[in-house]
Amino acid sequence: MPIPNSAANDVVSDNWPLDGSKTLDMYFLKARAATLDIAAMLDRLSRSEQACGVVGDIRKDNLRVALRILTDAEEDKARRIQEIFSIKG
Amino acid sequence: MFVIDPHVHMVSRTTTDYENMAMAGVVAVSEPAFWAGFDRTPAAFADYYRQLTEFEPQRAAQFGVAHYCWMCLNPKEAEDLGKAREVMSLLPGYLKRPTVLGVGEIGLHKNTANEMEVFRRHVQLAIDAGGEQHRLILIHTPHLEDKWRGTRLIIDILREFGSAIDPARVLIDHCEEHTIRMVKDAGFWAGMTVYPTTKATPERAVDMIEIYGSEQICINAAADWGISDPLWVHRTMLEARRRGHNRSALTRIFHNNPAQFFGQHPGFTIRPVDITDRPATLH
Repeated sequence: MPIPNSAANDVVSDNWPLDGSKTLDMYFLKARAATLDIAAMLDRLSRSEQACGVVGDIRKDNLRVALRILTDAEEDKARRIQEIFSIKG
Repeated sequence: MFVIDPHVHMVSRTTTDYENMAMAGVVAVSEPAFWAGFDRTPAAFADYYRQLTEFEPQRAAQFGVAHYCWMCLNPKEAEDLGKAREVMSLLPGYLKRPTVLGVGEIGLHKNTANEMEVFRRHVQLAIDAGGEQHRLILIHTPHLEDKWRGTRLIIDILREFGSAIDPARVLIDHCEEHTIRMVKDAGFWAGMTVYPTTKATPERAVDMIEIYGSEQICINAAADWGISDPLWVHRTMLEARRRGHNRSALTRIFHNNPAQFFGQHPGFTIRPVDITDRPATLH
């Protein structure tokens, strides 16, 4: 992942970057809510497919690949997921 | 804080929005020509261009906001080449109007051959309408799954024009995590749009600034007739402040960068300002 460096970080102040605890303080609840939204959407999709049949759709495939990126050990997740969602099938 | 909104579609917004933006420190807006939500007849474009160059500057001026705009046929209406030719025949005259910064927002929507053809015509128009330097160019990149390929195509087409195109006079907008590096590496200005659902969030926009730096970057909300808010520019500024970025940096990103890019047009009169975090000497 591109790490901010002296060439790029012309915007930073003395107390930047945020440490891990501060980052979690600021963003955990929002990430928690976003994760629950995704979980509920997948449950909704599952119920729809149980009732109406499974659909073959590149969007579903891309979503599952993107979700694997969320939990893998690699960095630069946002860019990599953007690239997954650029696949049109 | 002073703010220049580099991309906002004020024809779709209320006068109260102008007032709220002015109260939030907006001193100037730049309004690209765009899609109205439905495909128009060629005759409708002349009225639209008059609205951009005559009516909106007056509406903005009530609140001390300078209004500038851009001229083009937007890529969503570029599929019909005959219509494109007819509408584009209007543009040279409007490009001479004093508040018109250049040609935009041109680009691609679904990356079709016709869109690319109309894009090339617009780039040529920017060259032909310029003097020693081409007119400034503001570029729309496609949404969602079409963005990466569309951005790549746009850069490749611009390179077809060789030295006739100066990347420092071109802003490629709606960059996201997977496209910003290719835009900056090629020397173009990169626009980032904070907009619900389909573009960046304030948090992601600030992430990208932290990773890629603030040079040649402009932040906008592209507020239009959709669910959007011109003050999302300020929401992004607030996000940067929450992370500890200082006022000097915020001024550079949200005022001075657009002033620097737009200032390449002699009619854009707002200059970068010097705000530091050093204590002032009081007398």
